[in-house]
Amino acid sequence: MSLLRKLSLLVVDLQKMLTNKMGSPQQRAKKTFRAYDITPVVGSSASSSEMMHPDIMQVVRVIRETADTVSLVMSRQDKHTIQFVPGMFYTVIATIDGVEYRRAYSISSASTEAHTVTITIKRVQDGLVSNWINDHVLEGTLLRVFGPSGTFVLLPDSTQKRHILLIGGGSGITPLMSICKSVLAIESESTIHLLYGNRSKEEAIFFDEFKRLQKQYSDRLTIRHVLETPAAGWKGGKGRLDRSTFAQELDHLATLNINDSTVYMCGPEPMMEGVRAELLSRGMLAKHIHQERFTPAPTHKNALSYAPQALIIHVNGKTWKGQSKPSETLLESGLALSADMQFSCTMGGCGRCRIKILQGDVEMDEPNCLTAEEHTARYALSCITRPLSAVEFEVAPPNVTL
Amino acid sequence: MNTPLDSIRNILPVHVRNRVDGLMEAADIFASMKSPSVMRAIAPSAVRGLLFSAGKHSDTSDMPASHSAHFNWAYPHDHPEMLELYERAKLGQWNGSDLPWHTSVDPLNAEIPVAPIDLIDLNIAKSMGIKFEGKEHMRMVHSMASWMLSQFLHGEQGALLAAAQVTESVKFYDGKLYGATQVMDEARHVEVFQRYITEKLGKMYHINDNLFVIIDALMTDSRWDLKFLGMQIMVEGLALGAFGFLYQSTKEPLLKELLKYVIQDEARHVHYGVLALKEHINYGISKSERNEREDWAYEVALLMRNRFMAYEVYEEWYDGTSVTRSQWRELIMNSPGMQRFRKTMFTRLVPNIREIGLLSDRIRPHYEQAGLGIYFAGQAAPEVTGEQMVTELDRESA
Repeated sequence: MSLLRKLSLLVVDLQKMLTNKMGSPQQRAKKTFRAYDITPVVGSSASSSEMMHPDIMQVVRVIRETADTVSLVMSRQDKHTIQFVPGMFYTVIATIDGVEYRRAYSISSASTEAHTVTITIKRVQDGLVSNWINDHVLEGTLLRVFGPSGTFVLLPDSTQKRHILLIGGGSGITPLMSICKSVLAIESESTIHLLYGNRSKEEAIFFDEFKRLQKQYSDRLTIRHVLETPAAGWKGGKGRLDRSTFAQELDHLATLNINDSTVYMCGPEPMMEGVRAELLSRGMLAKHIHQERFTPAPTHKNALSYAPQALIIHVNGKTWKGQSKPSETLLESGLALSADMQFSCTMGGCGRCRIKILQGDVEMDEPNCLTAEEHTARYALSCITRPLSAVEFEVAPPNVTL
Repeated sequence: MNTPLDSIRNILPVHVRNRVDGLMEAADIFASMKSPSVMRAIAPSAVRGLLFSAGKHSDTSDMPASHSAHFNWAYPHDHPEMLELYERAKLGQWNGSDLPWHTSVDPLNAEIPVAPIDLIDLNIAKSMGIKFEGKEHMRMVHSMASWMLSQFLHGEQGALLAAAQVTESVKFYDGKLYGATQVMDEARHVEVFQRYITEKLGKMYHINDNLFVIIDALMTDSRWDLKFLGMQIMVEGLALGAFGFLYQSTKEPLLKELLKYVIQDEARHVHYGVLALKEHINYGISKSERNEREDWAYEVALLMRNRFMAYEVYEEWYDGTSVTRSQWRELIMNSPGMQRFRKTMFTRLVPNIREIGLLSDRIRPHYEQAGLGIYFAGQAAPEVTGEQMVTELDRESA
């Protein structure tokens, strides 16, 4: 192209530049970037635009896993696909005798299933909701749920080739089952070792399904059941799955090198403590050990005793001011004020709604998933926290620095 | 050490200093143009982009074409390797709508960062008097990630239109068929990057001046091989490295998935460029013509190196404050995340320049002087497929 033609273009550019430079500062400021409203997405987390409306799921199948455990296969009423990352849980909202309860139940199905998702629920002694589900939920029942949520997750990736050690105790097997099936289906080169502790064979959830999986993936899946009170002739592991039993089991896993493995475990606290201590003593890095804690449901305080309070909410540099209503959680108040609140499980279990209290006094239901450091640094979970005075807080604050 | 020039600079008001800094950088680019023909080819674009910031003052730009569309009525199968690439490209098509767009992305969530959080180093920033309070650091990471992806998007638009030109002008018939798949690939890349930026990040930066210069120079040049060199080797080659870097470092599952697909397309594109140019440059042109292309590629590599200083983010955050443009550059140059970013990009680019025969002993000292000599060794595009590349990236980051 001729130089002359290029020069004539330059004149046009120069004109554009001068016109733009003479515009108002606001107009000019726009020229660095353009801003767009981010489209909110329903799914693993909701934003305030959808307020706190739970999803409705329909139970399409009820599977009796053991005498005291049931699996609910659910689908969305709108038949949309269901997306989650293996390891996540749903918050089920149950209204029993007029009182609303929220409980977290882990997903046990593979993430490759698009239209259904399964949660598995074991009876807890005196557990209101778990017993209600085991006794009353039938095919066709509609359940209100929040989620899926959770940070105890493993994102399957077909290009990965990794070694995973799953350690489960009792009902802690549910998220591990989802991880196990998803990884086997998606990652054709990854291997899994599973150690599963129970009192007896009868109590072991998914016993037959694991047998089937082991057959199907015999080259990539190893399963070892450890029973406290095995029947005569039992060939598997024996004893309570504590540190010493785990150490023995680990010694027998000749094909497993813990230094290039990742551990996912879920089960009773003493089991997890023992396993963790043993793994760390064998040189495994803490970052390769993932644990899920089934925290008991937080105890609700008498919600009506909370008076209305003035609130100041900061989110991403924007500020909302307003008044809470009696009994409202900070999350509910924030949503009512249209602040960009974040939340997922709504029962103090996932940490998604974490806030930092900048000023004022609050009361939070216990137990919950906040760490001791976060407590000390005045972090709170907005879904289970209520104001005791005028309160100022920040949504989605940076991580606590130690 | 403070030169007399520095002391003069230091007493100037910040906005004047910034203007001087920008001009000095542009002057460096002009001064590095060694041959008059390279000067003729790039200077007008450089004036448009670097001095007038032509990409920033309007939503549209016109770049008149001057190449000729090459037809062949005999439909020869003249390049079996390109035909094979065409077959691979047809099978490798994917639908951008199928990505998991339902994924919620929170660009300010430090637990699932979109881009590495050390793109801006807090300690270096602090030593310059730049402090990030509370959420500000994640807001900066959000800005940097949006900026990076915006530049990818603008590069992809350049690639879309340039791929169309290349398809018209390429002499190989098999190359034209392949070229059409690349046009489609680039459209898909524009689609997915634009969607990610507008739906998930909410922030799109204007095109960087250096990138504008590169695109303008190759779009307006009449020679088909320079378009190839500019787009297939330089822009795409660098993009391949840049995407790889982000693929490895992002913790955001949607972006990771998106990049995984894009990388596999990109690997084909660079391969095509190497196939078309290797023979042409080594045997098809005179020595002086080859030298000219070598100089041109070097010039573009310099523009590329300067392209990633994120001045657009500087302007958003610090324009009108006491933080100067040169301080910002210092911060970008020394932050570990950006250092890894540059390293990954040039590790992919320089071996391809070598592979097509544009890295002779004559030019090597200049690359070395520009700090790019460390990338002379390394694998070129035909030596790795897209899938291998993704696997390799996964392994490195595991």
